[in-house]
Amino acid sequence: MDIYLHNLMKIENTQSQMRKGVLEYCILTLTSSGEVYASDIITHLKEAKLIVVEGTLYPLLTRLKNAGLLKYEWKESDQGPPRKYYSLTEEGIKFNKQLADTWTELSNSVNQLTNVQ
Amino acid sequence: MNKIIQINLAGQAVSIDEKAYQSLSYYLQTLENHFANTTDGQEILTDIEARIAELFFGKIKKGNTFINEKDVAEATQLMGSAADMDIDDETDTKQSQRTKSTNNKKLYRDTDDRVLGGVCSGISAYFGMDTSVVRIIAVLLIIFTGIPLIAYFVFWAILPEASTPEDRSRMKGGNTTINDIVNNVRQEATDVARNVKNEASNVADSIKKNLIFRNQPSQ
Repeated sequence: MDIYLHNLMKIENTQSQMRKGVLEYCILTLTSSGEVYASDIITHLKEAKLIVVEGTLYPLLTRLKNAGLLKYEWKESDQGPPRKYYSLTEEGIKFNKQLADTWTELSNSVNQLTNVQ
Repeated sequence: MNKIIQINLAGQAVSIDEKAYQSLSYYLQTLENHFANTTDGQEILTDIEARIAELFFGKIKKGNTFINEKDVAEATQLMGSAADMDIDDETDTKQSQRTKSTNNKKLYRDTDDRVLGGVCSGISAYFGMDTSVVRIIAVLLIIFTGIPLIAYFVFWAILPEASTPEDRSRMKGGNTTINDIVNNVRQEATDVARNVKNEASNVADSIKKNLIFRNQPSQ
């Protein structure tokens, strides 16, 4: 039972590492559509089962913003206080393109590998 | 009966009942402690507060006159615990903490939702069942089986009351991880240490001042 649990935790660990790896790319891609609100990004990420709770996103957004890839603007909202709307910076657009290339490469290689098996 | 207070959450005035306020401030405090040593902490916290304020605003718009404990629980569940907000690779510790937090669940009496001593509501919180169902089962057991009513009072006497937000979160096996509580305690301990240190240096200062003052006239 203990061994089983241990394996299970390891699997979860690897899975969450994998998700984390693509999370930044997904956030940038979701933001590339223009000005988006954090909870819209969250809805998409939740649907894709990439995150479970909203709290995961905020540190990432701040980090991407501080890295100069994202910027935000305050906008009035009819649902309460003004909201931060995020969009890509010039650098963010370039960065996202590079990530897209890497992702295509990576998914091709992984697909090839798994198909050979 | 519960007092309603006004708070300022991310620049929004929010009417909130006192119990809900306690659990909200406890939640925000654990996040604050969690992010205390990071550079972006304050900004992340402000974002989260703003989001919670917005969720509350939605509740008020729907016709709630104030924010209650259920609203706070909903919002904090949606936002997740401090451990969910780690972006750096601490997954193994996170996993073990989460397991611990569920093991950390404790049986309490929920005196906020009680008929007699809150035993049934405490049990229902522990097992995640509907309180009424537990109450009906309890009454049926007492009437139809040999379990005497005194068993209820024994529970009443043995089970602790869930009085603090920590208790309440533990009662529900909620989203406060053991790490959050440890961090909180650690924060308090450093606060105390800092206070003691400040106090000591104040005393030392005033002693020095007095010595100089006393020495002066003799010069």
